[in-house]
Amino acid sequence: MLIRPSDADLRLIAFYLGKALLGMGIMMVPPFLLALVLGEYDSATALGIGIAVAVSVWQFAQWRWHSRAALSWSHGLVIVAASWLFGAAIAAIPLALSGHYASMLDAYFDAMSGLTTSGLAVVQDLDHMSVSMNLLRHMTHFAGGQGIVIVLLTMAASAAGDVSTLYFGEGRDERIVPNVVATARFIYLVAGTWLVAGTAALWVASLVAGFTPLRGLFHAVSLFMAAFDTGGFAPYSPSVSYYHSALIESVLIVLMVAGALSFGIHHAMWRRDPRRVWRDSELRTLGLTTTITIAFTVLGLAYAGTFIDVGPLMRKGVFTVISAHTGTGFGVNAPRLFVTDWGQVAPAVVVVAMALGGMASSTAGGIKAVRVGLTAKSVGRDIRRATQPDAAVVVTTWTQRHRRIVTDQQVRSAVTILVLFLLLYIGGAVVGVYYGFPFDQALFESTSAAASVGLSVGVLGEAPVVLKAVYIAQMWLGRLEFLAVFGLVGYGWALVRGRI
Amino acid sequence: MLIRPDRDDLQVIGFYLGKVMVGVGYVLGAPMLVAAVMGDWDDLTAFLLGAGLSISIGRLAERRFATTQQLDWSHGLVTAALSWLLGAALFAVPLDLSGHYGSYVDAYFEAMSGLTATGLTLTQDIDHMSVSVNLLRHITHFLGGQGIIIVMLTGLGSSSGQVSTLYVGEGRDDRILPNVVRTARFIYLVASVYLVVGTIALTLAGLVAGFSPLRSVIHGLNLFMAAFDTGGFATNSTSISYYHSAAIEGVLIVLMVAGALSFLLHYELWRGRRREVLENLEVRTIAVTGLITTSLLLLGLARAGTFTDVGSLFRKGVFSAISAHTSTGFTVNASRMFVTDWGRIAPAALLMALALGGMASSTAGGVKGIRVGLAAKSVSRDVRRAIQPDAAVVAVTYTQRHRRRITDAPVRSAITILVLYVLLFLSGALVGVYYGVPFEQALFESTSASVNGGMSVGVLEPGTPLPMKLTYTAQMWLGRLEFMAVFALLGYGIALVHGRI
Repeated sequence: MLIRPSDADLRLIAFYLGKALLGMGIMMVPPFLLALVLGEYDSATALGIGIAVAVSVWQFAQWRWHSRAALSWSHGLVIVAASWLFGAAIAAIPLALSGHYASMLDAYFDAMSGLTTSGLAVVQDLDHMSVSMNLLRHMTHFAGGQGIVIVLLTMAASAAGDVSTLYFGEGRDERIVPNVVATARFIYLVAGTWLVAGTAALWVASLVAGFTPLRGLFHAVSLFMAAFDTGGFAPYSPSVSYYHSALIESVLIVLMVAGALSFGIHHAMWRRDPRRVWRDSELRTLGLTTTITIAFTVLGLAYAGTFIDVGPLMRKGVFTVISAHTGTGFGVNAPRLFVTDWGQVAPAVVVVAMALGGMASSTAGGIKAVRVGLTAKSVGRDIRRATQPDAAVVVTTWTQRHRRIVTDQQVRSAVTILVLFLLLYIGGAVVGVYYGFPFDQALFESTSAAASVGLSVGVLGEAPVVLKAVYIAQMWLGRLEFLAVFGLVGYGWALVRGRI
Repeated sequence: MLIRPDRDDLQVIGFYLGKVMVGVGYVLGAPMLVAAVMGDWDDLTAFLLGAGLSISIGRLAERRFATTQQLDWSHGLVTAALSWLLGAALFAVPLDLSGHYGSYVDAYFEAMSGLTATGLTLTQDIDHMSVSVNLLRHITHFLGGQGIIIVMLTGLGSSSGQVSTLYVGEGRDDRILPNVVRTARFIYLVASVYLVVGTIALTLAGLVAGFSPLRSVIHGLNLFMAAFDTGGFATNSTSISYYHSAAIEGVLIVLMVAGALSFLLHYELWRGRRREVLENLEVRTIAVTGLITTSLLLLGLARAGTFTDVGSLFRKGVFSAISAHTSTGFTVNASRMFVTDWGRIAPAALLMALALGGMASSTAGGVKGIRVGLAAKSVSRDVRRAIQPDAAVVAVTYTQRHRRRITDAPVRSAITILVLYVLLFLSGALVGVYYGVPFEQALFESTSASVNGGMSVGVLEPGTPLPMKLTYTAQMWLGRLEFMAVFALLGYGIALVHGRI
């Protein structure tokens, strides 16, 4: 039996949604101040309007739907799914007013791409965008990235027992720090430290590359947010190839990898517990798949003869795979080069890297290493089962903090999400094919959107409205790993069809 | 700890492999007879050589490894994996000697394609192949489709305790009747009834289409074996478009669908339980996926403007969709037309239909309806779980003979196999891409091989690079055995090398 949500449920959801949308307003304050300082008054007006809308929505929700009821699991899911939808709409307001977008949909696309830390962009004439507006784009990465980490950890911590193991592969006792508030504070601490250290490193690197101090600082902050939150926006249209600097690329590699590590690993490193880091099964899985995809990409590039000497081949190959595997999406060559110069094998491997993604409870997208690892372990167990005598007991274990026996339930949820991701990748590709793009290019672009990566082979630039809308939906679904979206859809269904 | 298989283990595997090889020799007797009657002396010699080789090696193995030991689970899996490899090697001998193959590898490919009921072919100049060799190709479909080992062993009078693990090894896990021998007998019964009725129907349709009586019987029999076992070989290079006969196509559609039904369903139908048909999860799943893929295919054909009139659009579209979804692989147009004339949507729909496949425990390949259905049910349970109050108990049920609750273990294994299939499709496509085939065509061909479908977009031809042929051969083998038996064989190999006593 389906129970229809009551008025109290809806009030509660609207109330908390208002709070989440206020966050969008707060996010716009630093760019707004920057615009005032730099004298970019048009941008300041646009950002001011954005802040005003966010604040008034919040104020209206506070006043109209004030509630003291406790949130349940399903409320949480609906709020999360709706926050990304409506949050992108509010972030899109100043972007649309900036005049760099052809339509409201394009501005919404970039806002969603930013908040989901994807990095696909349909912005026009990016190279002449005002500094404050460009900062806003990168702020969406930071807000969305840190937001999803808190959401994921909170959901893992507060979910009803079976759901949390279902979707996180790690049970309730996996909470890093015992309660939600403490967890959030820890996340701020880690992110803040990385922010300071990462920005400083990038600043130094950009000074070495010949930037003036002020421009260097702006680029460092923007790049940091795009890299550490595995976003992929860049201040200029040629992405990271703009800098021609091996130093910046290396710092970015470190930051991208850091962004793709789970907060469990960050916590272990913080506590100086190398054993826990080294033994972590998810990290081992990630290491293995990264090594394999890098090897095959380098092989494919060598086979296609894309580069004349080994240096640039390794530099561009390794950077691109790490950018793809961590779900960042920085490019070091023009998008069409993947189609025209990279041959057939290397782009295929990049698609695989994108599809796999980083670690769970990080800002990376994609299937996630925990699911890949659990699936592989389970298959390995089946193989051993088949070769051992009938009476032998065959188990396989997974280490995340503690060593534990893998259960059917964990594997079931891991493979379910894995299959849903595959369907999402293929579904988007089929839509692309429908609009006349070759299948391989459509699959590349669709995977990039669904796994929150942001690399492009140029399909997006020519995409019709429907295809853009599909990519928006894919970014949203992929970022929330289906469950929250299912919650929202089910809630809508229950509203219409449920009984009181 | 890995335990190294000992002498006894290898002995029991060798013994049963010997039995299978002897069986292959006996089966070659049928085309031999036809060759003698038709006076194809060259082919008769080839069959004699093949049969002699099979029976002598088989008998030798039986004598050398004679044992009364029981097969356990791992023996069964290993024997199953090996008998498909060896069986194909033996059937390839007369095929290679027929002179219609570029090399022994091509003949081996053909034998594997036949046994796994795939239907991809490397035959050269098939339109001038002798009747007896052509019959052998189709017999491999029948034999492989019905389950090579089960046919051989129960046919050769082994007891049920000895062969039950082999039954599972061949990817047929639901036992309809209390023991395997009785299940096998029931399978024979159903298959022979269809054989008689189907061949008569096809012969009549052939006569109507203007064949001479003898030719229509030959074509009827061959087509029956290729259709009912969802194989896909055809006696002529142009496959079903050779006949230009709506009657033949109609009969074939019925046979392909019958072949893709599980034997459980055949059993329930036999018993007159119509309710099972309506409520069975797998039937419902396939009905839904069949409708979706067929309508997508028709939509794509209409959009691409492949056909000028609605009649042929429906006739060719529906036939192709059913041929793909049942993983038969009959075609009603030339292979390259899929690439040149079908647009982009229709081949994609065909690919989806191929990947989904028929029902478990049938001769159809692919991911199979039960796995798709279980995965969908499990997701729907998760969705319902997400929107209900925290304390609510959410149970989702499905029907397969009985009403059952969804539990984690079957869902885990269903989705795992699903993922393995997808990986198999993709890795085969990557090999194709490496050899310069465009990705979508490589994916189509690789999927077709992995699901034992047999449709081709023209990537596979006698001139295809050797590694690609070998990849497709391996994919057909893996796909037919649904991975488990092959994994067991690999594990056995590792245990032999690394295991402790």
